[in-house]
Amino acid sequence: MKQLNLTSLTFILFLLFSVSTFSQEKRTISGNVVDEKNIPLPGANVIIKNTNPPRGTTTDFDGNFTLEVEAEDKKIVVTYLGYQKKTISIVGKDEFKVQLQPGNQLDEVIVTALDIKRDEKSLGYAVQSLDSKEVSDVKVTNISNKLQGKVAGVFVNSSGNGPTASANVTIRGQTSLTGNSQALYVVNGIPITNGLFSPGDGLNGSTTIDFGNSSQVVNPDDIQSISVLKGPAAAALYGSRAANGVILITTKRGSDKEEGWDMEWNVQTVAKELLRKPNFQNTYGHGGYGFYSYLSGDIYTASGGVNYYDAFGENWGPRMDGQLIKQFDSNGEPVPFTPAEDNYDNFFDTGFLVSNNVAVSNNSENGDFRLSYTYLDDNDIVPNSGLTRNTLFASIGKELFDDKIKARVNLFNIRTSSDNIPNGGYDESNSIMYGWLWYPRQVPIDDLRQVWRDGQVGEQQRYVEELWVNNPWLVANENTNTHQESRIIGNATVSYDYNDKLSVRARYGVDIKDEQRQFRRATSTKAIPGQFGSYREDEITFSEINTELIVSYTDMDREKKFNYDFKLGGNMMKQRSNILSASNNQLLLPSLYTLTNNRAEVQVENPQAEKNVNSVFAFASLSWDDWIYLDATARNDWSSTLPQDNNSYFYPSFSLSTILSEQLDLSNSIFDFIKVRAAWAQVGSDTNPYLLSRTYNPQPLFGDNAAFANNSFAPNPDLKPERTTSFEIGTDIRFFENKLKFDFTYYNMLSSDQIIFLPRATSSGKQTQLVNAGEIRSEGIELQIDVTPIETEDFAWNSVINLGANEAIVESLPDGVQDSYPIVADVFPGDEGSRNLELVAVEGEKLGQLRGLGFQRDANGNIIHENGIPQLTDEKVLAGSYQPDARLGWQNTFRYKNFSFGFLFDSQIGGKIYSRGHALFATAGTITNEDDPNLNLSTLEGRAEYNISYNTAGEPVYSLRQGTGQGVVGPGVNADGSPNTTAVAPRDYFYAYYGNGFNRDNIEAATYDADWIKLRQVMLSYNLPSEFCENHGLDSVQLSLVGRNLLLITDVPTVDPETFSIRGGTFVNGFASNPLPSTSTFGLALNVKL
Amino acid sequence: MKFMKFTIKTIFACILIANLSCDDNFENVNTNPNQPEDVPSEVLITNATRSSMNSMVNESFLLANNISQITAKTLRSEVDEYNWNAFSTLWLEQYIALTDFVDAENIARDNEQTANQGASIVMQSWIFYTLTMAYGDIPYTEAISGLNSDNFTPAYDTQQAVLDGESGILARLDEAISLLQQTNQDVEGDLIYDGNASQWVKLANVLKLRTLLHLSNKRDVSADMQNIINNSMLFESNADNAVLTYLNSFPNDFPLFPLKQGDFDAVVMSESSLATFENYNDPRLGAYARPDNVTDLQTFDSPEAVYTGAENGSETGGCNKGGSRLGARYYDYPGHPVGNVRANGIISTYSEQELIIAEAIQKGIISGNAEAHYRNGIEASMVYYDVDVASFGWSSFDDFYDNSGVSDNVTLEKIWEQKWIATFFHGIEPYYDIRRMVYEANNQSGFDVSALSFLNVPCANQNDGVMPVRFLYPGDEESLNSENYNIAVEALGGNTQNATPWLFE
Repeated sequence: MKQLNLTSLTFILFLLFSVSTFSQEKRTISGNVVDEKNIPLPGANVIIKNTNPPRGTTTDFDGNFTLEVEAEDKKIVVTYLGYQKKTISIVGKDEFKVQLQPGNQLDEVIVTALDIKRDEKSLGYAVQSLDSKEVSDVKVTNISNKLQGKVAGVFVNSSGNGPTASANVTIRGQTSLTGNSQALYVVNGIPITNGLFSPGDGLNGSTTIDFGNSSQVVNPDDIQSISVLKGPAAAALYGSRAANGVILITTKRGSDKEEGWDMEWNVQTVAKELLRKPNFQNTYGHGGYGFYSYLSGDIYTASGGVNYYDAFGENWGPRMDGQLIKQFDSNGEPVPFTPAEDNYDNFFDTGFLVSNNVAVSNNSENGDFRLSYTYLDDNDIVPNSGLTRNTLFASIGKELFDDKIKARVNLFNIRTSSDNIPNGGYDESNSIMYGWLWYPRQVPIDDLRQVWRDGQVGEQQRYVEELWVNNPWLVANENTNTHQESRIIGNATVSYDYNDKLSVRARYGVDIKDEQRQFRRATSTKAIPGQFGSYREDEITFSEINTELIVSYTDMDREKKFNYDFKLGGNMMKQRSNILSASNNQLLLPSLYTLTNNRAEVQVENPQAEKNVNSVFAFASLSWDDWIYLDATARNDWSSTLPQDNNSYFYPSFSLSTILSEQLDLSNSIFDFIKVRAAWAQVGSDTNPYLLSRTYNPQPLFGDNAAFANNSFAPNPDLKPERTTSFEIGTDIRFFENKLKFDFTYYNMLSSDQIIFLPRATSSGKQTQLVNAGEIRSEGIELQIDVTPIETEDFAWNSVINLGANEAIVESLPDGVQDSYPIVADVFPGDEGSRNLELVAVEGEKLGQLRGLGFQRDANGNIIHENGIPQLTDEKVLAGSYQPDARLGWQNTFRYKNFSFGFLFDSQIGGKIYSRGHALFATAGTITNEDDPNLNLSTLEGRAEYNISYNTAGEPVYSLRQGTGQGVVGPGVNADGSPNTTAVAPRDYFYAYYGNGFNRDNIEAATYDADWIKLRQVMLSYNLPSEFCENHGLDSVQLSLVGRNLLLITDVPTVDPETFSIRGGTFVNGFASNPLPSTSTFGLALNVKL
Repeated sequence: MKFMKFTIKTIFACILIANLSCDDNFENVNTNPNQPEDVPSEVLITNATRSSMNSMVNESFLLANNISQITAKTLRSEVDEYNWNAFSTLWLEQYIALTDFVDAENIARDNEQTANQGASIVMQSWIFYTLTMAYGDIPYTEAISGLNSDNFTPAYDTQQAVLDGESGILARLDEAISLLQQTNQDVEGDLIYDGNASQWVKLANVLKLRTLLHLSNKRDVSADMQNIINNSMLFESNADNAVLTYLNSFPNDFPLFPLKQGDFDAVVMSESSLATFENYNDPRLGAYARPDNVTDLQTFDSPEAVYTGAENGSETGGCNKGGSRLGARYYDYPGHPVGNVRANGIISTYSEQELIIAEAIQKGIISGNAEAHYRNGIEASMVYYDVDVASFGWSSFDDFYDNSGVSDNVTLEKIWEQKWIATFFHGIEPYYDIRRMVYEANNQSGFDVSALSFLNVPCANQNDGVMPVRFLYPGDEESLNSENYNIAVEALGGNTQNATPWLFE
């Protein structure tokens, strides 16, 4: 990595010097400035760039100018009121024809569906966009996270799941009973996959390792803009997959810049630190009920009548006051029992994220190109984890035959590789976080760095106890999940302008993903079958190919009052996926990770899938006198995944925009601009392949015997497409010379005929049945307020608020669903006899209720106790919905001379989160529990403490210390209403409180209000003075201090509430399943343009 | 005009797109390349045998062995404490296995694979027996109705109908026997008997005997049992045992081998069974348990070996939870020598059959020499576990039998005690047997555990020392098959662990 940095630096410096050595004579240039219709523009300003005071001239009556320029002058800037400014290179050229395009600040051009560029004012639906600066100012590894706080109505949840962590992106909230409502990602008009690709979850079941959703690879430095098409009306042209909105990414191209050469260099280095830590206790160590003495590390409680508790795996042991106790690694000698307070910090590294981008572009009359290379190196805070990503991007455009034919190719080649993607959650063999739940508070983590027992390297790990947990260094350094991904995202477009009005555009887009993953589990890893260690390789290939043809008939002549744009097109989409997964579940030789080093048959799975969707669509956009705009779209899809007779579905959309300010006389008012818009749309949707007929699922062989099983779902040959119908209205009002802008949207959306797996009684032979059912209504508002209170030559302050409020209500559930429909039936696989915690849908309630057992309470809400133990309900209860009421972002930007300073707050208001991690940490006695808003009881109270001595046989003898072990009295009442006064052992209390011992099936105890505020981003920039740049042949140099996620304010204990779980390839909202810690980042960024 | 021409060309282009799509026949595209639409019955039999047996082994380990106090749980001890939630995995996993067996039966019938048809019925009967014995009334005749119809809410049959009805499992076993006897075919995909149809006939008869003994408190089963003893093929030795011999590697090894040590150690020898083993100095102890003080396999049976037993019951309430771990055949300890004999999955054994017969004779249900079968049963169990009688101080099995006290005054309780020990890991049978024995020891008027001399009232038990008589129906049924579930629960008087099923009414 360091080497590469150096190489790119040298390269840059080389180019830098080679450019600055150009020089020319003093001379005179001349030119002619015209508008889009070739009519000369008199009085246009022509200024030499970077001159102070400005040197320049204005055009004469015929639009002509002449200007004397100096040797070092490189560019001129041409401006004219009501037209977009244009910057032109004058190097090596003396004659210019400058054509300006109409437009002003009000007419922001936005990329919409099918890559159609539109004036924002003409849109009848809500779209919000981010420019290239906003996308790339502070680097993130997952591009989706840049939308956080910046776009009203877009709910982006990140999580601490390592360098490839997925971002859970929903626009206008969750709308589906299947739990999957991810937005569609489109790059340069062509959809790309955003799949999770998590076949078979982790190595041996349990948690999903988060290899990340696929869209994250798009490189921020190559992005010109991101448009977020929020509702179905905006997205209808993208068909099925756009029902949840579209994130439209447009890449940079040479023609974005003025004619000539451009170069840019961006480098950023930030450090990553833990943002949130559990509130560890440092008073009591490993053991149970005050007992602990090490014998062999495999005695859960007692052996031969003696209490050892040396593999109890919890921190309910003796007080760490330095008394002499036999401990792990003390060779049978009693040694002082003292806390190792800084273990957590000592284990995690300071991470580093380095991003280095070089781009060269050229624009000329003959065509344009842009080449860019980016190197990203993300060293995570989890030791031995991180990723590197190399992105090559090329965009080449060419205009032929008098500009009648335009051709362009955009191509990304992205190679990502990682030495280890760390896992969180409850995966015993692979989750660092599983170990921290139980980690003995008295054992210094550094003492475990030697992971192997003497003489048993690679064969037998060394750890504090033998029953449950793996050495965290073994997990980090040996049990790795590596991956290498190669991704090609590209498209080629050819358009032909037959005449002024008629044109054809053909486009071919590919998205090819080829990924290998290797999962290693060292020999002696607990929870791996037989503890022989294991190895698995996945080969994942995915491709999506889109072929599109559009015919346009357009007249946008602004001289006329009536303008129109008609388009008719077709698209063929083919998806292919092939996953080859081979598992060597038991290694033969220890810790040798190959498929052939196997003591059992290697298990191979090879699911393949194919899906085609053919579409025909039409689009009409009409405008009258620049103030009324009417759009209509229609699309018909034919999907291979639906039954032959039912595989065609049609859906229309309409939208209307009126610019009232064009018709009203506002010259004496505070208003500058008033727009009112409305839209209605319907979108249909299909499903996954192979759900229509009954098939048999291959199972591992038994010896020579082949084995197949019936699938657990009943297929449905009569499946219908899903439907989403939406309506939205909005307004865009600007006041005080655009110093205050206000944009408001209300929407109402109904999703019906959802394709779901309806649970069925297992006694029927099927566990689910595929049906169309259920209705979910989503309603919400989006509000943006953009204020510029101060704007002077030297100082400016801009403040933007983005608010999105959404509520999705379950209007109806399928017949046969009694009280709730399980979106995820079993969030945490439980023990025999436990009642699973679920994420469910309940008719009439908000979508996404957390469900499990609750407390028995009296009329005043006090928890009812029996013999000092809190009592739980027999039936499951609802603990509220994960759905936040709103997400609120607040961005502030200050500019003073060459300095600029910006900060972004992002927050969630409302919603619930269940924290499995907190429940586990508390029952393990590992944290104090003092920050728990639900239970005012510390784990340090009422514990029994013993003086420990050893008899002649070397066995521990315990004598109770006076005044200890009085137990804790839980806050609440007895069944008769009297206050609870019965004390019980604190461990017993905590286990009962969080849910029936190890069942942990009480949803109420660890469900919290998930409100949070984050200081999402801070950036302080300094632009080097233009004279300085000029002198060194540079356009601009910007130096910045950057930071992300610097502050978190929340009442949720132990974990960062901005998180989610993943089960079976789907995001599970509202459940934090002991994720890896989230991080804050801060560092330096440099941007050089020449 | 030009425009018209161009539009027509374009439309042609669009049609071309549409045509191209027709070439790619959607039906072909949506045909699953990974999963066949038809399979022969044997691949389903193989899969369902493995999955049902794996589930039974796990339930033996987690539930039946502990409820019956052969072993005890050291944590998550609600089972031993008689504080039962729904044990839904037994229900769910066995109905999933039944789906494949029912499908296999149908496919075998259509393809005239008579032996496969018969074996599928035997396996179904074994599973339905296990389910009705655990829960009471269950979906039976309508079970698995969602496989070939749209009925996803199968009605329940009474426990009486399932066990003893016209199309109950006794009748179904007869149907299987007649199918297996009328063919020369082997059973294909057979993991139990390697295809031998006549051994399947024997198993069917033993399952009938087992069922009839349980029915003996409800009706006179003498004639039925005597008829089987006199006229039917039965197990003749351990060679006829209905066991699944697991392979030596995942995922086809004995289901406890893949466990984490902590989860395996969560079950240890019980104080109750240890007392019986030590009382007779029974060499099977060296097979069932691993000594506390040695790790060397050779000394499992040595006099120095120290074995302990944990109290069944609460893990917290001051109960003794220290006990010897289960034997070498059930788990490989990291760093310990690996046993050369690995445990099998058990449906039934010759030993169980002999002790069933001994009990029936002892009770006068059938005629014969009870002690001879009693002795056979014990010896068969010892042979099955390949015990080393010498290291427990016995010169031979005869020496053990004659001098350990086992053969002194062979009462019904002694037969029970030996059957209790012998049915270790026989699916859920240890619980069903112990439950019946406790019931009979209480003169068919309750389930007070203390009535059975070789059991202990669990430490800190939560059910007044009364053994629960049934498993709770899973929540799955309550929410997804509620109409039928409610009828069953109403008949039962509540979905509780103490609600009396028909067998004990």
